[in-house]
Amino acid sequence: MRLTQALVGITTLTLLSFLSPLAQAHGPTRQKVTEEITINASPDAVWKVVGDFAGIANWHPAVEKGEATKGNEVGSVRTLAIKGGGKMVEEIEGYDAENKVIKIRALDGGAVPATNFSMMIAVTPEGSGTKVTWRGAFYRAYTNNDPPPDQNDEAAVKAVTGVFKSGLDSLKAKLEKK
Amino acid sequence: MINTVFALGFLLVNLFFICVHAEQADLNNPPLSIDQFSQSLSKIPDDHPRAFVTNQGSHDLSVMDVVLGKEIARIPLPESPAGVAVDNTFGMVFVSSPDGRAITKIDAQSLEVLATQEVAGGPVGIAVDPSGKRVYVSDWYNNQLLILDAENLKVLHHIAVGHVPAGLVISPDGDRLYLAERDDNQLAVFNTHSLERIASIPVGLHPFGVAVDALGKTIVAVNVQSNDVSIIDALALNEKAKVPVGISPYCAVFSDDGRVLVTNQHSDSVSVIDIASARLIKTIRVGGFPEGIEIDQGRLFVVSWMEEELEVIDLKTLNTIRKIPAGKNSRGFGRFIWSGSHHAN
Repeated sequence: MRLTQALVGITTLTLLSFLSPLAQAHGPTRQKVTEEITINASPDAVWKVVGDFAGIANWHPAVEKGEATKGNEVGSVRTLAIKGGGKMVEEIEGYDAENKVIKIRALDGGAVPATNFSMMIAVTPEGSGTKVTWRGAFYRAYTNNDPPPDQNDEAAVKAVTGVFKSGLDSLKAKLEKK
Repeated sequence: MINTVFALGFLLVNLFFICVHAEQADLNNPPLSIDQFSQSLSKIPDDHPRAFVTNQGSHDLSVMDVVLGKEIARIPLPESPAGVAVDNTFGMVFVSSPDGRAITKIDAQSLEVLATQEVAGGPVGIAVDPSGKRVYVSDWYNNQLLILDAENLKVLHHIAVGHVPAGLVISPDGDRLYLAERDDNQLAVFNTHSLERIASIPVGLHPFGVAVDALGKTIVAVNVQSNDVSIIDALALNEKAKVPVGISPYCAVFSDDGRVLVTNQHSDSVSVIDIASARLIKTIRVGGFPEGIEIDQGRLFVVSWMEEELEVIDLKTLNTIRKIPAGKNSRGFGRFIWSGSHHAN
């Protein structure tokens, strides 16, 4: 971590014509969420569950059931029935069984207030167990200026964080249960 | 934070903060005086090329000495800086802040913020003409092109353009402007003198980044949705070929030996295309979500948004030389390398 050694203020008298209301609004900026969890199981055992694209209902608490068009092939599309109603449609963008990395793009993000949503799940050895990293990149649902609160950046980050966290917690619980 | 400052009034003192990251950085050290700062800056070689990487998540600009391989300063900017345009004629850096709705001008050598200009809408793409006199900005929301006086950032013209204007470049002779009109799936060509549209060239789906070669003969538009790159003949003003690349390609840069290199955001890779044959000749792995890409003095520079770093790659071997940490959600969309004071034109 770099430390800020010095803060030097040099003042350039610049005439700014900023009007505060104009400068308050936020435009869409790509957001990022990374969640990790360490699981007391082998990477192979974890990948067997996580790497099964159609089988996410087996470990994610929000997914009722899922099916995929072409298994774990790139381009395979899974349709997920979400508990409490709604669905999500996602496609495999990359599948690297050797390095245990799957890349997924949401075609229909359902109730998650995010657009252009892509994610990656990586399974790596960590000590005697396994680390699972779930990273997402997305924009908020409202793609123009001045979003309503339920469609702003914070709402998108919160929702995606919830999806990842609950999924990883549940994955850990499932795999560590003997 | 910046907005709070803006909210204070109409006329504001523009505070110019530079945080110098010295080698033996220590929080207990008192802030440098201006004299000490000038001395410390004078020790930083100005003949080394510098990278100016926009950090959209930390609302600042990372200044990196690419030879020493480290960040030498961090300059706070209006919210969410994204686009950057380095002018190697006068050694100036221009940055667009889509959320802060502002353009900032910075001296590449002294790192002083020289001017800040409010603009409406969402400034994203930014380019400076080869003479260093005009700055061109695409306004993502209002479907217009802004033309600013590079000296004082005064907005000289607003030109209506197509839907969701994104990346733009100026031809090496300064006569033409090429602009990706993303949602119209076309490349607009403007005469920079008359400001009239010369052509609208259909390309792939959702063009974003645009690049032009050193002779001004070939342009490429990077098509995010169709996962390909349009190669355009500048004389005939038509698309010669579409070359498939990785997933969600974003930005491109020409090498001086007939290649074009393209960042693929979702593939975490750079595609290397041979222009003459319009073929993909190589793909190299880079950090996650690569965006801005630049070439300078035999080095290839790639900004990774996910990894938040600048990757320095040997252009000949395509091997990574080093990775320099940047700020949060680093982008570097545009020309972000200053060649150093000895290389000024």
